Amino acid sequence: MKWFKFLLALAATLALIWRLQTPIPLGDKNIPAPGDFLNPFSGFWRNAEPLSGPAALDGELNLHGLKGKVQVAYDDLLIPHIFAENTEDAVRVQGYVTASQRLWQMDLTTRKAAGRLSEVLGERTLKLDRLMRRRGMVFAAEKAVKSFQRSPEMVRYMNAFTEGVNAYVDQLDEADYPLEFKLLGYKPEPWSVLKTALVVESMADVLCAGNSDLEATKTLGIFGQDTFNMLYPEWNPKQTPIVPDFGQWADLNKKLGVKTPENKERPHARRGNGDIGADFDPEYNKPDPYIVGSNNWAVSGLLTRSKAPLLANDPHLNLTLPSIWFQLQIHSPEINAHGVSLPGIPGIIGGFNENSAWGITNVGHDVSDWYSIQWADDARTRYVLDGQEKPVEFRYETIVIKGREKPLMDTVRYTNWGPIVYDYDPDHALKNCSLRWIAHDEPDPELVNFALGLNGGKNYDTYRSAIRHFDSPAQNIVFATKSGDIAITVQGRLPVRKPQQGRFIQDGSKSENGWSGFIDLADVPALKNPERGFVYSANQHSTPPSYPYYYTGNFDDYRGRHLHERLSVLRDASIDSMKSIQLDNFSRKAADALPVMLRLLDRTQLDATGQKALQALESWNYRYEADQSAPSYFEVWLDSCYNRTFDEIIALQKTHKQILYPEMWRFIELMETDSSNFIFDIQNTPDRETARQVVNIAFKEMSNSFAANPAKATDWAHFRGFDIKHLALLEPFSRMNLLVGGDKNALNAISRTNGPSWRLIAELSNPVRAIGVYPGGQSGNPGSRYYDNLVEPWLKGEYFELLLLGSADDKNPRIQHRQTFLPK
Amino acid sequence: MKKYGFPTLLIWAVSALAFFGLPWWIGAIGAALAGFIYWRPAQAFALGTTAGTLLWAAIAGFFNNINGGLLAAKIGQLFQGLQSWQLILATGFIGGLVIGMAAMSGALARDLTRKDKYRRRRRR
Repeated sequence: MKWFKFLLALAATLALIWRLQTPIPLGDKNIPAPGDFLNPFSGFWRNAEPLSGPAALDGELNLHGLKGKVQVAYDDLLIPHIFAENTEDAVRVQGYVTASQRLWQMDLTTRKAAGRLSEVLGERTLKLDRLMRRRGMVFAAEKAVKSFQRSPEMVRYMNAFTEGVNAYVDQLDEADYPLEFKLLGYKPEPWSVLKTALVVESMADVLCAGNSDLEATKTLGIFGQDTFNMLYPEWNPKQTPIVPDFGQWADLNKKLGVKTPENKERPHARRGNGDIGADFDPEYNKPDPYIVGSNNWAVSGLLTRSKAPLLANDPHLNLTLPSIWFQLQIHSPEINAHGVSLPGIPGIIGGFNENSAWGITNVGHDVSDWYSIQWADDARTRYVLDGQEKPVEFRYETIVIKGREKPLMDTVRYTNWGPIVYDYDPDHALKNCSLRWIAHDEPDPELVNFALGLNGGKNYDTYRSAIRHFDSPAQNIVFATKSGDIAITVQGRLPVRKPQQGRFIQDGSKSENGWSGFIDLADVPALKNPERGFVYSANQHSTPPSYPYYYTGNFDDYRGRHLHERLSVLRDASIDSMKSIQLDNFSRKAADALPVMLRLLDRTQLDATGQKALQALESWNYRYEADQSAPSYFEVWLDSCYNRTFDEIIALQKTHKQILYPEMWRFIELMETDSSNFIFDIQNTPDRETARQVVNIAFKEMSNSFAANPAKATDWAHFRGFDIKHLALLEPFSRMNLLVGGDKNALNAISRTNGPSWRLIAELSNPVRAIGVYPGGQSGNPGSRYYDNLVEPWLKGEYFELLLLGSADDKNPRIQHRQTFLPK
Repeated sequence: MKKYGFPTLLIWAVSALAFFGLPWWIGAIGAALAGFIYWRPAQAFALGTTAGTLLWAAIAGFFNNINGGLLAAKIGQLFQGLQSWQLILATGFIGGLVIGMAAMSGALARDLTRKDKYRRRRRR
């Protein structure tokens, strides 16, 4: 009996401990093991950071591989200011401090890019993983690593950064793991140069992977050339390109034998895809209405009060927590810069230093094309190119899936163009097509010198020599110096194409259909100290059609024009006037469309809701302010007009899946200038409608929809909604239902989940001073006060002074912690 | 002191080893020892559970306190809207259960070494 009691108790105790160490499956999710997660020694309680900030930010640490002493001062926003005796040491410590705040984010970003989410999340991310592998993300990253190895300098920096991250990872106890590892039940793994390359590829995926070759090809086939040209013109005559034509291309046009600019028609704007935050969306290629976009500009001293140039930048991206950016200062004998970095990449991507400031926006040229393949055999092991048979190269992908015994083995065929992405899906329209994507090309071996070069930049020449290392995803890089220069360059590897090439799926059996090289860096659009006194970009066209080279892509039509309007009237500009431009909620789209719509509206038969909406709309100043109802009425009305007009296209979408939607600017232009165009006819009525009827029907629909939901708030902030979501979409770690004005077509480009991911304004005075803010916080820990402490100031349009400390011993009162790294 | 203080301190000291990289259930070994040396089975369960609950809840409460309840509020939302104090209680409950069961197992093991009721009484 005694034995029985004892054994029973022992067994119960052991079973209890075992149970508490085992995750509890719940559908396709797991509830973390209760003992592992709740125990106060190593569980989630250990991530409950003191309100004063993370412990262990003071004192001395020994770091393997350091050549000298490195001091880090943390300011009141937890921004590290790194002071090193050489740049390699600085980069090493950048790796360490970035990992100490953002390790899980670094893991997730690279797992997603590498198609390795299923290893830790199971079946639900398998589709996405498979697509990432098949699109050649790892293939691209491996090529990048090979390229970096050609530069001994890059090898040193990359290894230093990697070892810095790993020094942090190696000393972690289970208790120190970032919260998400504990929640999802896996462990951090070592960093590698490949992972840095994967971060680069994941940016390429967000910024330059979009294309609509399939949609355009199908739509052209259905509509025929005339209707296609009418609905999808390439060039908006109201566009204000980044680099205007002042005769600089005449010689080049002559040399290349380009006759008319008209043959370089542009297609519709593609919608962005692959948002950073759409991490777990397996419908990867689904069009996303929220395009990624950004603003940047520089104003010469001629137009500023202080006579010093001003520079501003706000990259618009999918907003997430932890934020995409990690802010820091790097100080070495070659560098003294402050700005934002991408966790996983050495150096500062956007910011300022003692002499200059710089910022980026996405170029948006189409650098991702589909080629249809002519197979030479049924097994698809050979294909035809220029009349000759070529062997397919096979790449084998192994996807480990949590909860499944066997991994998924996948075979991807590669032709000379690139991977056959979709041949595993017999119904896919692109199943016999190869993807030719710029991200698959080897990058410049000294890619990272783009950032480090700018970080140590002194003048226009150092700017130009730094950015030439940057090929993809192409960026409009704006620049200003203390010495008075302002400049912008459309920087990246831009393919040379024949007119219309890349707009549609092309015949992959002829190599002549490929890009015939890349635009010479001397000929890429660029501008330095223009007479007008400013340079700017907002993802609009790089150039007018008179630029010698044809390009196609995804371009903004409204922010750039309004930015041009604002900058053209600047006099005595100051940091405050730059703020007012960044926070400008005015929409050029609304200002273009609403007067046309109101002109066509019949005001005689409006009900009470209609009257109320009309009143709001007529007195509206086209600003998407948080408390205004007019933007809500306008957006619903315009959407309804668009949907009624393109009812044919919506119907085709249902039967043909991939159909191209006309761009908004073209729709507004048609309403204004061609109101009896056949496209306004509504298919399911016997009458032949014009824009006037469409506008009136749509107004009725709009007012009915508001009348049907009287309880629904109509003010723009509530109506549009705005969330900053956690990277794993965990709601308690997200900031949901935030109230803020702005619109994707306004300079303050806030849409439902996208927005200015970083706002920088620099005055190139002596000394250079800068302010900035991003909607997140330095810490990646949801249990830290510094996780989202910058969200409120960002919402309110506030900025922080960005400290460019002179030394680690600087007595600035904002410094709260000091850490010293010594060689081991 | 002998009945309450020493065994409780023993349990807490061994449990605290989990702060230094040992598994979180290491306290169960301390509890089994305490039960073996100091306690009888029913007593072991009651006192062990108390010691475990107090320790786990107190540490959780400490971290919650320095954190201003920030994280517990978020974790609570992840799990059916639990309040911070409920999470602390749940933590204490788990700790108490493990420690209490282990202490009782220890006490029952000790029983195996005792010959009969008479001798046990005499020795005490």
